[in-house]
Amino acid sequence: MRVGVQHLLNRFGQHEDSRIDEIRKENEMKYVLGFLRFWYDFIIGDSWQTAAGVAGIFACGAWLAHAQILPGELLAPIVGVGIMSVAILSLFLSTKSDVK
Amino acid sequence: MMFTFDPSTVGLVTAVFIASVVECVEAFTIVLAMGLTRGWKSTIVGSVLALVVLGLVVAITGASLRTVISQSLLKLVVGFLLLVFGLQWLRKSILRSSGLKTVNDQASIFRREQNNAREAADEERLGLDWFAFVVSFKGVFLEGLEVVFIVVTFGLSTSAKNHDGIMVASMGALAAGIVVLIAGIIAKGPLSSVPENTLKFAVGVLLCTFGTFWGTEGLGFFAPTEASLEWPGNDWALLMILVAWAVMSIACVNLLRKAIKKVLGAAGSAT
Repeated sequence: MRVGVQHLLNRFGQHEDSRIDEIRKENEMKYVLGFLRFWYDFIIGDSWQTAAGVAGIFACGAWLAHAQILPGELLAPIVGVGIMSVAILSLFLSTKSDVK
Repeated sequence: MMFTFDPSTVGLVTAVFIASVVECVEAFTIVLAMGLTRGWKSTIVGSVLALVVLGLVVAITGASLRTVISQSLLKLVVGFLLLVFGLQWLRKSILRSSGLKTVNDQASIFRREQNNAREAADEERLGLDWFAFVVSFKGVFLEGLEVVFIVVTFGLSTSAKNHDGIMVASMGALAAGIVVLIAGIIAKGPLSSVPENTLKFAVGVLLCTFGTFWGTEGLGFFAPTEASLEWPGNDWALLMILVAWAVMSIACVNLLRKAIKKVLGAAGSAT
């Protein structure tokens, strides 16, 4: 009988320990997600289209630099114009709904 | 301390100074509301502690990033971050200038913070009014974090020419803080007359300019030599990029204003 009760208490204790571990992991995940969310809001804010557009142009520029299709002094202004164009386009697309 | 006066250094100090003025004004409003409503001791302790933490963040981040990655990759990362961050500022200031977003009013923010402070419960911890301490700390820390971001990114990117780029940038931020504090003491109230949106527009243009310049140079990381790309005219290309961003941003404001007038005109004639 005592062995049985002890066994039950051990099982209950193990269940409690695993539940505590689960809660701890959930809290850690919440902190990590909260931390990432903070930096996402801080740097990108509410216009992910702009960030995506700029990243796309940088990716194209990286490919052009790696492939050495254009000389460096020509590549820089072309990429610069590309960045400005995409940024302005993203700006208008993201404000289109605001105007309507 | 070695520093050279060239377009990028002048731009660095200007951008950091103006951005810091904007953020210091916002932080000052919160600190003033707490100080006048809940008392100065806890408010000052919270503000000073936030400044100390921000100083440590600058020192640690600057020192660690300078040694970890190559100059080209650093310019690419910093340029991308500055562009995305700067476009946030620029986009919001364009929307405010065109009338699509309300302009920040420091006086109403000040009244709101004061009301919140009056309604908050009295709680004392470590001999401090905990509400005033936490609000002041958070206000100064969060506003200051944007300044830190700009100080670290600008400082690191100019570290090739200015050995103490971060120190120079920090001096710009400190100067702005002192100017705002003196102005606030003289005004004895929130600094409502500061043209906040105009300053944010200027900072947005500067951040985008430097982000474009450095980010593009940083693409050289992907070239076989991993050397930074060079703009025609080197640092003088900054002026051309600045003019381009300024002209385009002003054009955006005008286009948006026309679009709004057109929409309102169409809506008016429909009714």
